[in-house]
Amino acid sequence: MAVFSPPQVLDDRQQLAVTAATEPPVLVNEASLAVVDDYILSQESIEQFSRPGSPVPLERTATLPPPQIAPDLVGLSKAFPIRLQSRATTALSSYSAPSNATSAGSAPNSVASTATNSALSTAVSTSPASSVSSAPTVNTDSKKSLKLISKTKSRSRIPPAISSVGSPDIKSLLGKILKNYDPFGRPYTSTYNNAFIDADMDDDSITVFDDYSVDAESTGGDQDDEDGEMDRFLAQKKQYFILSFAGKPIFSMHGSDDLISAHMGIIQALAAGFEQPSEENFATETVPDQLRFFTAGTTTFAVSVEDPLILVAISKLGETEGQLRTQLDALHTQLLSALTKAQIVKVFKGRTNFDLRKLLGGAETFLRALTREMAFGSPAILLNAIECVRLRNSVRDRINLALLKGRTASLLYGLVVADGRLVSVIRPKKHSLHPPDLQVIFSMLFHNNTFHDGREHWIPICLPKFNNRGFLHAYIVFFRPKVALVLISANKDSFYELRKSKEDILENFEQENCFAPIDLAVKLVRYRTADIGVPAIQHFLYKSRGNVQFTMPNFEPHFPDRKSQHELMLLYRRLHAAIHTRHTHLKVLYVSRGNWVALAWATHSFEVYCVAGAATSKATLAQGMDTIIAWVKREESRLFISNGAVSGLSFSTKEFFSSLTSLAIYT
Amino acid sequence: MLKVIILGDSGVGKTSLMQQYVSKKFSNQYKATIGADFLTKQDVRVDDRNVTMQLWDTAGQERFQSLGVAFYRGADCCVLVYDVNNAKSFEALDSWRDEFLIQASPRDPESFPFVVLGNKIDVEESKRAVSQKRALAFCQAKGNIPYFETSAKEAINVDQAFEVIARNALVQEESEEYSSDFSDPINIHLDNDRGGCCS
Ligand SMILES: Nc1nc2c(ncn2[C@@H]2O[C@H](COP(=O)(O)OP(=O)(O)O)[C@@H](O)[C@H]2O)c(=O)[nH]1
Ligand SMILES: [Mg+2]
Repeated sequence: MAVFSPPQVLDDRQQLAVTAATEPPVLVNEASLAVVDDYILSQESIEQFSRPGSPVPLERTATLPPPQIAPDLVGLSKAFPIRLQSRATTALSSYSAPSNATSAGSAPNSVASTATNSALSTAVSTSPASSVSSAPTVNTDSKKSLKLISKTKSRSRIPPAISSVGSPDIKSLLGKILKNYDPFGRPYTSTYNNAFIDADMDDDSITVFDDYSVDAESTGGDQDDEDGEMDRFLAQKKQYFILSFAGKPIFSMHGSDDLISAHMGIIQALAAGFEQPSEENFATETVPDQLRFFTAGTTTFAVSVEDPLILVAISKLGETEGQLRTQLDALHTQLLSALTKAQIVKVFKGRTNFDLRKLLGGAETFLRALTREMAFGSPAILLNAIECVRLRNSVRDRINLALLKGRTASLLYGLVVADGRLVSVIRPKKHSLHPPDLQVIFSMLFHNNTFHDGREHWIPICLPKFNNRGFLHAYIVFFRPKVALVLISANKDSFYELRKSKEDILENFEQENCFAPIDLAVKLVRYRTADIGVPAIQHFLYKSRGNVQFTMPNFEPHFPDRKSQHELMLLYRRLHAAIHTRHTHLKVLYVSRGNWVALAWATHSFEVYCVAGAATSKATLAQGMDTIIAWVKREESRLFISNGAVSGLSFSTKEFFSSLTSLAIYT
Repeated sequence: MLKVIILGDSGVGKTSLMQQYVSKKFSNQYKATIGADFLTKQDVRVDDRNVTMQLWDTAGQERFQSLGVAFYRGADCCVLVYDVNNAKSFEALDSWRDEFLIQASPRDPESFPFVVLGNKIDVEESKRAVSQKRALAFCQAKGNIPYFETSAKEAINVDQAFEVIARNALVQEESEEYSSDFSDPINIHLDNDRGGCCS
């Protein structure tokens, strides 16, 4: 007979894992945002300066910055006008003092208001969650929650100032600069002016977490007792899953099938719980809900439902939903590059129990390499941008020309990529490349050694942002240890043609003396901050939003090993998160943490993040940033590729076009 | 990876059967399953193949039925369990089966593999409420569902039952051909005015 006794403590490993995966939720609350105390400079809305009709008191209320930080802020205020004069002179004349309604508030109050905003937008939970035991806090996509989020937004008319201790000078001056960049105070959905790259905006992130661990990523040791295995599995700082709608595992960064399948089940059940309109809302809600984001303690879960797949990123590194979503998008793109969306949809159609791992084949290697890179911290994926090799225009022109001269009829894209950085690209007129597609290629080429044998490779590849329904074909060869030539065609029979093209191109390189500058670029890697006159800055990231490209100096000498580079990337992720919070347009951020001080600034046209040693004064840091911005401006055409060589343009004769038209490719 | 769903009234021994199969353990303590539990059995030999089974254990309670569709979706085999000493649990099998077919809506309901387990046969004979004959008649009527009489407690017939479950799940998983067709064409028109892509 069945003996009924009170529930006992779970003793089974699998169930323990499940319990841990759904440990009781902790709402993102003000306390978890306390870290913003460290951010000293102000973060403010342009609206404060540009909103028409808002009364602008001419007399400023005296706001005295707390004495202990005042001297540095003065130094900082001195650093910024230098640029102001060159860029915002017209705006200066119409300058009037901003309202001090916000800046009069004490710092802790301002922090609270930011925290409340974030907490509200994150804590949107809907009823289906409650049907699952110990339901985590869930943020969903439904109309209802969107409404809620926007409600939250309109309720908070006060521009969220992280801290308002900055001197009025800095604020107003920065406001001026920004106004100059973007007189309408539009949000960041700006247009892109680069014809070569097509881009989506990165998501705005919502939350800043308290946990800021800089521990090196735990590695799965070779201890093989099962408890240890589960502990290590759960202790991973980063985890990525891909599963089917049926909850069958497709990919997991860590853990054996045994360990992961319970997690897959939980996630599938959670995600599916949101698909159906809940009963009480059945009449009104026609748009199915979607699970997007939840937290358990300081562990963050971002879920991306891409019918018929579910992708999950789990992070203990304090990353935001937006950051994790960018990573999931990269992971999804990588998966599609091997299978195409069309094929995935097709195999699952009418057979939801399909095991996609059967089709994955070698693609798992690439997924694994990508997730490793993302867990470590990839500037390219953080910024959703690509990096180019810095070259003199004349050199790049020579390389472009060598490619153009060697091109053949069915070539769609031709790329030279050195050590993860773009050297040159040729493309047909009106066919641009998308950063996620390029990242897929770069990740395949450089994050694992599949192609590093100097031999020719011919692979079908889908570039999902270009066309997710079918395959292109790539001829890949590393003609130097770290330098690849990639020739992409839509024609699957063009191997011999592209091989011939490669031979011609390499011969042109030889004749045009292109190898030496490419080799040098690989040897020197990037540049050093000392070379560009900012020795005080240890490292920086500069993203040109218009080009969807970024540049950075060498990690060496200040960040010589993987561990310190990982820590640096964590710092960048924090800065990026803080500066991409919603509701603000003007973002300047100063952070002092551990061994470093850092300054970040995002405008309509660029984002820049600078890191220096802890002893560096704010003035020096700001001056350094200023120098960097000016240097990038000067070097723009060498640092970024703004158009790529357009194969159609350089051969713009009538015959060329007619030959192209007649060769229009139908595979 | 094979997905197996276990259904049946509360207390019939679903969780115990899975525990016995996966970790060769049995506990007399009763702990209601809340929502769902997941267990994995690796290295299951089916002929010369090695497969992994993902076992989805559900709670019988009404209030978790909302998990239905999601839960049942993509299952490769459905195991229906009753307690041979409890007639009501046997009578419920038909509605569990219907429930599954409605929620999971497999492409070919007629051929979808079920396995029926009559559990707790270790209990003294006088308590038996459903005869083997009656159970077999039901299974036959529903399209020759394989039937096993098991005891999670004494580990009777558990491995044998799951061997059939694994085999039938594998057949189901491979029942339909898929073509890994890499020839979806991308049509690209290159011309001077419009280099628009794709069709
Ligand atoms: N005597 C006996 N008891 C069993 C057997 N299987 C399960 N039980 C007991 O029946 C009760 C309910 O089992 P459980 O596996 O939790 O049922 P579930 O609700 O279907 O998951 C527990 O107290 C078990 O110890 C069996 O084969 N024989
Ligand atoms: Mg149970």
